[in-house]
Amino acid sequence: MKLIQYALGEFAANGIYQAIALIIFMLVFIAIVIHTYSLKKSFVDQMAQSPLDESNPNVNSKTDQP
Amino acid sequence: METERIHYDNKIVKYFAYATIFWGLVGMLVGLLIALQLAHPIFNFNTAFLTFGRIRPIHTNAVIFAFVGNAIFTGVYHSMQRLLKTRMYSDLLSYFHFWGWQLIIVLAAITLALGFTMSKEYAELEWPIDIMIAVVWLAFGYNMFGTIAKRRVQHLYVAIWFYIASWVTVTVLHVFNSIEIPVSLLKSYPVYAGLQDALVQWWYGHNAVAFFLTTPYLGLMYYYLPKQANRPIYSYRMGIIHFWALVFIYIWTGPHHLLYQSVPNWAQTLGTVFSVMLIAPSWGGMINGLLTLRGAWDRVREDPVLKFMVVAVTAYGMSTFEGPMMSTKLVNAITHFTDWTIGHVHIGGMAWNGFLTFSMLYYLIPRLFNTKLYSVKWANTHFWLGTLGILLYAIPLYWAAITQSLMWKEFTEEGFLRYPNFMETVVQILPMYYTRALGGLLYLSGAVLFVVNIVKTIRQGSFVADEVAEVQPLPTYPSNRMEGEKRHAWLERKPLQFTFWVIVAVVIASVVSTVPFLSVKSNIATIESMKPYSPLELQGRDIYIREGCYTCHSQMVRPFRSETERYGDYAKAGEFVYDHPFQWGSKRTGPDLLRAGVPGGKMYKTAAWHYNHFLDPQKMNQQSIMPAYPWLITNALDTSTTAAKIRVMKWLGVPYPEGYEKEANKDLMHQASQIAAELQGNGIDITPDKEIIAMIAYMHKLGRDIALPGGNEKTEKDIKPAPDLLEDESSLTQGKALYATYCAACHGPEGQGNAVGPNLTDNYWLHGGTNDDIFHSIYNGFPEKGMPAQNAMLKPEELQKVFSFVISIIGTNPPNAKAPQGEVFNR
Repeated sequence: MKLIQYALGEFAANGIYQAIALIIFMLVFIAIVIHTYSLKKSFVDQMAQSPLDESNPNVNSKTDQP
Repeated sequence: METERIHYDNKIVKYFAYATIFWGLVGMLVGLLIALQLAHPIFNFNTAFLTFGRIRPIHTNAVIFAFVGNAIFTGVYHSMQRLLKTRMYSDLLSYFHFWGWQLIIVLAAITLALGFTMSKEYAELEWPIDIMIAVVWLAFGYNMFGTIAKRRVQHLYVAIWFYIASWVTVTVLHVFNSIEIPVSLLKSYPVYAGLQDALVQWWYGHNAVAFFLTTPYLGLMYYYLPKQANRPIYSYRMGIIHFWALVFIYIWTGPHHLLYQSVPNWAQTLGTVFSVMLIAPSWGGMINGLLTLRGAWDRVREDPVLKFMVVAVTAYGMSTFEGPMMSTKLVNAITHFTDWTIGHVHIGGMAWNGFLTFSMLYYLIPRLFNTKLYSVKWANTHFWLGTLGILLYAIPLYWAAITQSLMWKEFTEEGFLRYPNFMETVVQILPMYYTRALGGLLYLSGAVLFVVNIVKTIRQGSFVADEVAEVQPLPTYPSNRMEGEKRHAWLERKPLQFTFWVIVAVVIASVVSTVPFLSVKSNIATIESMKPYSPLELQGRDIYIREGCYTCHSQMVRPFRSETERYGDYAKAGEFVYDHPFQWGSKRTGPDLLRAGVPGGKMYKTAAWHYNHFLDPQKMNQQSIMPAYPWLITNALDTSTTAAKIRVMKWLGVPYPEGYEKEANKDLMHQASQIAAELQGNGIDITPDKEIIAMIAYMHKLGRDIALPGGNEKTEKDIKPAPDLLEDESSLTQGKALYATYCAACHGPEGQGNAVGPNLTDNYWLHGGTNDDIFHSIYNGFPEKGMPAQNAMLKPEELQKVFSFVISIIGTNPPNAKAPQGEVFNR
């Protein structure tokens, strides 16, 4: 346990936490960007329409504005 | 394809919408009251449950958890049913959630007003209410995930992701920040102490902002903005990146609330770096929202709902730029502890949360009641009242912040603080406090107009409790990824896996950024002289917490010369090891108190001074905006809790001797008797069993254990001969004004003396009555007795004027003069 605490303290002194945090984030971020832009356009367009695709024709006919 | 008829539950949406409106008005009204209290203490009404320290947390809790919380649930219950094309999973859970949440809010308001508080910002509520929050929150989550499970769409829209992330993260935050050990039904101590408590609290505090005030609202933005603009979100791809980047980054940033404070430097840097990185996803979200209106900007001119949305989204962008800037050390050194923080959170609260809530309700209510909005014109007026209110609120606070910060830090050419008296910096910003209150009043006026408009809209419509929708049944898809199906597209139809990855993103950051909790013991240098609080000091500390003193006074001297010169030695992590909870504070409406107990220190005041100050702060300093606490003098200290408190503290690792809880009240009474005797020696009629005695004991504990022998301040005195006496009217008038600012609090406005200081108008002197003696007393003071050395505050010519004025009032024989003290000296 003391060894672990010592190691953690040493890491802190050397700024290793910032480096780990930054590297993890950059890897995740790059992966998400690559993956997101490889999604099919038809799928993305369909998902973007979700809020507008309401199947409730029976009510709320007077609510065009505001 | 065959369709199914389903019924959306609008009743629960209506309930939450009504609660939003009601608690919004309450929260804003209390906000206006505390703004007025800061402008003038008369608005505290000398009443315990109405003082600033107690109702400021009511304001923040009412606005965050009652107004914004109910607004979140309104939007979630409305949009989720429609996006998932199904009724909520369980009506019973929906109404349990609603009534449970309202009960929590009512209990919160009552307990906070009565002074039951953990003193951890935005997590003030005591343990029974914390448990209730957890139960109700779990019911909400169960209902939400149940609804997701029975949805009739394959993929989850981005708004739902934000709801999931909010629920998951708030659950984690609430549980880990609320680990506390009960002392009684409404009193507990957190398991964390000092530095650990600060890191956990601001890991929670910042992410409460992130995952309660931001991510759910982003979900609402991604749903209601496209609805009202009648066009899809500008870039769904950007939405995906926005979501994951935000969820991943936000959780790391908490330590930016603790820059220059007693936490590991690497944690501070981590907070800063991730805060600056946060600009990218935040602005991505803002741009995504605003560009959704491309081709529809002409409608913004006419449509108040879109107007509110545009300002809300823009304010989100502004706040998320301002926040990271405040998280850099350079800017933080200026803005922290000032009103800048208050201005910043109100841009977020009033414009982002407030305006998005108003826009959502303007959109929702007419649809729930199958009618049109009663008055578009009134809604437009509301928009402009609100916008003007925000500007009049925020700009004066930014002005006040810069003014105060620069005054705190300014030195004379001789190397002294130019404004050593904290009161000077308060007086300077009072006009801004009045203007801020006016801004709040305008914002509240707009909200009242909104309520009238909504009530009239409701009256002209008819409520649709169970809205009918025709939907197609969910086609069957394989559980595994289909051929050609991308991983994220697959993830969007697998809520459990999706939630898992959200948890991973949140937990990774939490684990890495909370490593100090594991290594903190070895990182804190032990300070051998630090002693646990005596029973009386512990009781006094709990009164300090009860009265919400931390809302105005920090206990964190940062390592800046401007702070060590003003307050004393800078703070060390090792001196907070017995602080359950920590009291570092986040705002200095009054001065820092970390060194208030250092004998001879810059902040030290005598017991008599504290007594008179709590009784009537304006008597001690006419310009003070601190409320009076007369009940501390009449209330008997509740010593029945001492043993339980000591027992819990021992359990938390505070090194009281074995069995000490049985002896604690004996020590308490001994120490109380000593303080009472000192006060009685100053002519104050008091018994040892009063709360004020415990409060004074706590004040005198602050910083005392690590003070150097004889105090941290230099004790050798400069011998200065008296300057020539000035006798012209102008000099004496100026001397009188200086006397009123620096001396009258302790010697009376006419020099007649009071419970603290001796009479200056008679021929009796405690430290000699020659001109040299008197000037020497003014110049060097008697810090050990609470009289500051005026040479640190006044320029030589000012010292000469105040000295001349003091000499001029000898023999004036004012009414109510204090009895002679010291030895006679006939001039």
